[in-house]
Amino acid sequence: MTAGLLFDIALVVGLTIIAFRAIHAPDLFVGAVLYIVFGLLLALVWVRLNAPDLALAEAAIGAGITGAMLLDAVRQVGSPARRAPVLTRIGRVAPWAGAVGLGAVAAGALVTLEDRGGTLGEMVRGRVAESGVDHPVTAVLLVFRGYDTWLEVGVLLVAAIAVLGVRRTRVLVPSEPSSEAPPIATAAAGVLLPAGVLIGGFLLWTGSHAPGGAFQAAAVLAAMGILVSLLGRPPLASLSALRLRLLLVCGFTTFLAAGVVGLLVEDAFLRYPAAAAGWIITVIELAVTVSIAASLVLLFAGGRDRAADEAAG
Amino acid sequence: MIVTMVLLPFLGGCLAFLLRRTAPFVAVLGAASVAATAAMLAVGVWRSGPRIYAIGGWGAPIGIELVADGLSAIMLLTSAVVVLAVSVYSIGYHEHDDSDAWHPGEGFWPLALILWGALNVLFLSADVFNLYVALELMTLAAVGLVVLSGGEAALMAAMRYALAAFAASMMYLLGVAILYGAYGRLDLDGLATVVSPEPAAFVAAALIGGALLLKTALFPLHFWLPRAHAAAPAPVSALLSSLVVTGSFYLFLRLWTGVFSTIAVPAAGQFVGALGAGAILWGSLQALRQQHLKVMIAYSTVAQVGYLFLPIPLLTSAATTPDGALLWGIDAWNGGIYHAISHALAKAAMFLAAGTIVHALGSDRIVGISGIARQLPITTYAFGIAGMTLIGLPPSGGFVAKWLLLSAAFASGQWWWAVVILAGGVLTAGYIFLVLGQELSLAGTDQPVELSKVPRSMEYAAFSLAVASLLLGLRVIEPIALLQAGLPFVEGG
Amino acid sequence: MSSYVVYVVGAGLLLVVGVHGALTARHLVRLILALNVMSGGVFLALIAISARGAGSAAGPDPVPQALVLTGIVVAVSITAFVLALARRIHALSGRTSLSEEDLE
Repeated sequence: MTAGLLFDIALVVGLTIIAFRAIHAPDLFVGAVLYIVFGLLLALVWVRLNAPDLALAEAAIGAGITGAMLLDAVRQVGSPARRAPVLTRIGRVAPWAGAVGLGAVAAGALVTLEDRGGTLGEMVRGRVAESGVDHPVTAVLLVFRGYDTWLEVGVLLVAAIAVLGVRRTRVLVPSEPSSEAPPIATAAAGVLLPAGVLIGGFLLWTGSHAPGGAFQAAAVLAAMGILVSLLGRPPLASLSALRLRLLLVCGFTTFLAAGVVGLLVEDAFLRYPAAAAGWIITVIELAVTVSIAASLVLLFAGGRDRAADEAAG
Repeated sequence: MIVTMVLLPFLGGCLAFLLRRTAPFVAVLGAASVAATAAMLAVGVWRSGPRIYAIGGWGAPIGIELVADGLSAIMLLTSAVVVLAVSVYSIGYHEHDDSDAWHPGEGFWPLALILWGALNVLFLSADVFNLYVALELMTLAAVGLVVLSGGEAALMAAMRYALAAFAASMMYLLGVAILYGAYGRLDLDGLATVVSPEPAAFVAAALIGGALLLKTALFPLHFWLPRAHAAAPAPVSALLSSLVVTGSFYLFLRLWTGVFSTIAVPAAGQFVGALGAGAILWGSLQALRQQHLKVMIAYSTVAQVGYLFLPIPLLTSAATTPDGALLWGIDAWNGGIYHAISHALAKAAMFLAAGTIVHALGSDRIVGISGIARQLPITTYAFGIAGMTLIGLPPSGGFVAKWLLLSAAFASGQWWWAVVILAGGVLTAGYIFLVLGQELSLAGTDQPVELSKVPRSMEYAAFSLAVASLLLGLRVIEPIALLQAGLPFVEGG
Repeated sequence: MSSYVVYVVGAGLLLVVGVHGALTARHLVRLILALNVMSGGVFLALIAISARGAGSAAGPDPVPQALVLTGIVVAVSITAFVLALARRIHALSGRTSLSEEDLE
């Protein structure tokens, strides 16, 4: 057994234990922190499995933004006063039986597939030159399966509209005006913000030929926005309702417009004319980055908007 | 042409979100033009067979393809018609939403249009992962719509719905992962040729099938549906009960007769059919017990979903029996889809009619609607005609569907499904007449109830959907002929 | 034993933990955590497939990686929406679970 394999086993065991403790931590705050650790370990797994794009996305979105949302939700919703009631024997055993059955069957099926080959990977690598980008993952995301990605940007847009609907509001209201933001945090934000914008820009630019791209860039930008939100001033709060909606919708509609250009020029939806493919993709990525970042900030800050709760409550 | 049916709803959704005053106009215009396009597509498919459209020109398996066959065309057309009527209805429903404060219409129009776009993606897509994204988009929009009625009950119902749907999505995606691991592709047509009876394929089929049964709310996985559909605003209930449920059923049928056709064993078909029978009996009995109109209609959906799955055992046995396809497979296929579209039209009509009653009375207690037929005759007609379709009385579309299913059940020798179909019809008649009896009752006429004014457009929108479900029973030849285009289990179909 | 098998078994373990959590948890935040662990398991399965037979000069299969990127964004969208819903429910009624008696 090689050292690498031992590391893999340790990683998987650690991941499982952390996941279990995150779900069942008596204190939900601890649970949310453990979930962030889980996300970071998962990012490590993605590195081990040669998926640096995912490692970036997981660390930023999976661990970072999801973690921040969970922590913030726990702060409001609070931890349970007491543990779940003691269950009967069947009540304890049945969930385990179901879960173990499902996990074992799925893992068993997957184990039989170890030696299968002939996936789409080779085909994608062979045709990456036709796509207008060099990085295969970006080529799949934005070109070969651009339709999925367009719809996925739509999912984020729907989530944003739905959160506005939950809140029954059109704009972000600053949640806690002049809240107790310590000066050090404000100072740190002053340094981190420009750095975040730079890193985001770099990730966006690099995505066409190396790991990175719109999602990772947007996640870094959104993380900065969330940091500012935590200081009591969501960065989108000063926007009018129409401007906020424009920001949220611009990624989805730019993608759609690019698709229609293909429809008109090349007679195929989402086919980018060869001469302009490079910059069309850049424009899409830029708009998508802005929209995803804005949506993520809204999803975070919109969820914690307490003024609306008090108005409704 | 095919892709415009995806683009228009999404474009409309974005416009309705950005410029909220244009929303009703955008929705009606979009629904009308997509309905016209879908009708043209239906004629085209009927004359010259299924069409394939490669997004980005890449083609499967590297890219994503859209396939429009008879089933897709009829689903697209049905949903455009339902969306058109629901949009017209919603103009009246959201009439008083013009104030400066936030109002539910702001969420309704964009989410409803995007929901519809996601359905159209679903009906056309020929890629298992793209279908996953479409399902997510559809579900999230649907849950977002349920929330719009505000109130604790709606929020709790939305929560239950969202969590159940999220869990189901993960199961579906796990199935997709196993399929990709085994066969290295995601396109439906390609997968159908390579999936073979082996452990991984069975596990993938069970995961994906189970996920879709949960999303379609087939008994006993229906626990999330009644509260969500009853608590939502009426136009949303109509969209959910008629289209969203049909969308995930469509996908189940598509995959069962496509990708998984070589591994669908008769026992699994009988199991799914048994769940369908359970749904019919349990849902109808629950509907009979309800005191509130919208909850009753929601339980009726639980029951009617059961009918959708009765063709599954018949189709499965037809595929494994010589000549089975010709003897009863085609009837089962036609009957199942005919039921899906008749139910979609009738259930939307029924929820819209119920919404009109709530709008007028301010309550939907069934005892409270006594004698309402005098004040809302058109709404009562709409409810009654839609009820005829659900019961399966001639000459409604529901009658044709049940007739086809009954003859398929007898031809295959599986008479037990016929018993369930007939028993379900009797129970449905029970709860429909319970409501109609109240509506037509003369008991409460001494002291006429004070009703809020209802826009005529709301009444007629429900009425026209109900009439459409009736007309389906009078013009049978064209829809049935259309359904033969791209029939999955007949050579050269 | 290869690292494919290790990670596929890991995916199974995460599914066990996630599904068990989803079936037993009462607090809404716990339920959401459990569902996210489940999705981690599913993503792990896809990426294990992507890296299958690694060491081949070609490198990992980019398609599952792109699918998981899409999946991560979908998961965070749903998580955010459900958390906003949970907060709203808490603000309106003080409830933190779906059960009728609300023990937590």
